[in-house]
Amino acid sequence: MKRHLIFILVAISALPAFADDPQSSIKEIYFNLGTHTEYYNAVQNDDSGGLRKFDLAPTIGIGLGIPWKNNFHFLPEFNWVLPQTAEDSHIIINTFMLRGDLGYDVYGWLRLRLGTGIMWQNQQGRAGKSTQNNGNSTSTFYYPNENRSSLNNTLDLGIETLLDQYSIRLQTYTYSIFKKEQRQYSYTIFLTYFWDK
Amino acid sequence: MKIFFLLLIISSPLFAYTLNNNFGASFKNNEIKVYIAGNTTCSTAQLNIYDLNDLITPANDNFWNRVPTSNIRLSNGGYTDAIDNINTGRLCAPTDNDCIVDAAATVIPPVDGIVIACNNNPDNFNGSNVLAVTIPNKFSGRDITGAVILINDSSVVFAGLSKSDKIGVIAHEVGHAIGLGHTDDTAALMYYRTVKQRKTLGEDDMRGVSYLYPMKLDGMGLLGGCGTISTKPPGASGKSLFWQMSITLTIVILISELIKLLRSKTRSST
Repeated sequence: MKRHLIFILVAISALPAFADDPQSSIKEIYFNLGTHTEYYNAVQNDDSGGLRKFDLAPTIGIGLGIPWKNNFHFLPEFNWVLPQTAEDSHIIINTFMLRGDLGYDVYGWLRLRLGTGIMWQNQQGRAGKSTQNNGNSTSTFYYPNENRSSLNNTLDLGIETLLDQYSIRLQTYTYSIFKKEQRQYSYTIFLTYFWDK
Repeated sequence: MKIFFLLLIISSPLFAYTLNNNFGASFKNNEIKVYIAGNTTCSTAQLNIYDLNDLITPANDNFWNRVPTSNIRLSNGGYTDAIDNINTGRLCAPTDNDCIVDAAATVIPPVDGIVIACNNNPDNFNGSNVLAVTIPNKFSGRDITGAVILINDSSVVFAGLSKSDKIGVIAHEVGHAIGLGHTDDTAALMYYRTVKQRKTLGEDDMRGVSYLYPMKLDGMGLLGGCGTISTKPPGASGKSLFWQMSITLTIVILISELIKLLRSKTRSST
């Protein structure tokens, strides 16, 4: 922990070094609003074998556009799938995405994205008991009581239609691309507002 | 914009997974073997040990091993040595005092990993329609080190299931063995009843196994994210530090660029 803190302090103290050139490389700042579907077609969502294809999980985010060369851009962004609470708030789930895409403007209105990201899924357990059916009787089970997180690297592909100051985007995330048995696909549909385009 | 605000207040309802105990016990090592008791017989359940063996791999791979946010790796460990009383005994968990005081009962011998067997003693099952029970029977502090799954061989109820339902039942009991409790969600594998069309895990199951066995940066599957036993404190691994440094550096550069942009904006507006 101490090592990490020292590194963060050193990195922050280096901020002025990056500020020598007064001209910013950032040409776009944008804000995302959308809905996130986790694990397309891989989560059972009813007791007759139905698999989830779409989910309403509100997501917000902010991103930057940094032109590179020709029609390419570096597009880092941060998104947050807003907290989902389960069973009277016994468990609160937050998903954060820290992503970086290389974007290519095929036309003025069409942008393709290829990138990678880190998915950080945090679960806050608020403890408590639950009485559940257990065969012919009931038993007491327990809600989690700790804060735990999963971290995954994803391969991300996106297609975006640019409409003046807005855009609509389908962003996909592939988990475990190199491990077939664990590979899953999630996606977000974003409506984006470009503040500084 | 109205649609956006509507989205913010509407989201899918969630249930909540539960855990077997109030201290969140789980296996310490994420690589867990599922064995078959070498001397088990399942005459009423109409299985031999080879049939039972065929159910284990799909129960692991079609369910628990598919969750990318969890590093759990269940595998088929084959057959164990003979276990006393496993087929007929009234078997107690070491913490089940009500059972232990019964003179006819025996405390089940501790096992390593997860062991599956058939048992024809009706006292182990709270009714003939109960398909199976799981007895976590070996702990080390907060860690589970062993659990026994008993398939109800005292009634024909298990024999009447299709193969895919039998796989679902084994997967459900493995869920208990790794530390999960029941949920209210009928779509979840950890719902207390079997579901005829069981295809994969429900959302609750995925959240639960990710809580007990969280993935820590898997490099898209290349690194495996294995929770191998380490003498380093949590979060101090070289892999973790590399990612944290990279992310911090990227954020610092982006913040500096953003500051420049905002400065230039301020200048141009004045």
